[in-house]
Amino acid sequence: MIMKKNYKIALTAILCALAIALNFLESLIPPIPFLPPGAKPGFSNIITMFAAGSLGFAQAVTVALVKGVFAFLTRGVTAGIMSISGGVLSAVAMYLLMRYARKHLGLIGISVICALCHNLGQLTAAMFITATASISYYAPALAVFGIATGAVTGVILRAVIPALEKINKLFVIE
Amino acid sequence: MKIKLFKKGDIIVIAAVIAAAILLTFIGKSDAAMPVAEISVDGKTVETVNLYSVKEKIVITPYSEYNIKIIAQNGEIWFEHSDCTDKLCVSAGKLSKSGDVAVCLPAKTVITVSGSDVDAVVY
Repeated sequence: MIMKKNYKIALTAILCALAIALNFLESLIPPIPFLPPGAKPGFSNIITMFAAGSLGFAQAVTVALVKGVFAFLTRGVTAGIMSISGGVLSAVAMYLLMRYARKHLGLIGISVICALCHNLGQLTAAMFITATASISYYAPALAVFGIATGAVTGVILRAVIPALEKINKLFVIE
Repeated sequence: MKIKLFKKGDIIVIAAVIAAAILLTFIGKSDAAMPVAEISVDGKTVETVNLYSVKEKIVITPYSEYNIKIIAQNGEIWFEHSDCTDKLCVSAGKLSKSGDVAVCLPAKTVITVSGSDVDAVVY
């Protein structure tokens, strides 16, 4: 399977658009009680994971960065920083795990760890922005929520891989 | 992409996360009888409210880039209003227990509730 560089770029762009669309749809979900405000299921990670698994490191990070720029343009500087800090860290983790841990971990496990990395990146950024360590109080609730959403994301990814690979095939030159 | 949906390692990951979360919850939260709320802007404490003694409504407007209104009343404290875009601080609701936190990221403003016995709080 050879993929021309241009096609790869076009495919990455499509994935970015998908991630942004999912991100937007997610923002319509009302705040969930008992959880830290702003906690979201992170469905756009499905796309980042696909990029990490089938395209490569640069493409996964690109999707995360584009998502961050979208957050910056639509919701402001803080939202942008939060999105990029969490998104990029989790994209890096995704790539490394898919590359080196696929023998031991399934999509669910990888997805859960990535959700945690996302939380870690965001909490760290939030601590720097506010210069307050007490935000880490949010960590346990976020971690448990991360297991649930990570598992859901993994299952959805498994289900949509055939569809996503269909787009992928359109770009492959036989 | 050929990665299995679920493997044994996943169980270990999930179990470890749950264990860590439970542990952290016990360390972080203490049922202090006398909760104290601390309002900080950009890392500096600007106001401290003894929640256990608050009955009458207190309005606090900390100085920051945004217009923020914090209200303390009947042992509770909350962001009543903020000019920021997300309004996550307002949706954090009312804080009363030690370990409760509400954050307004754009305004770098944080309300933290801790027990008055500061030594018992682990950061």
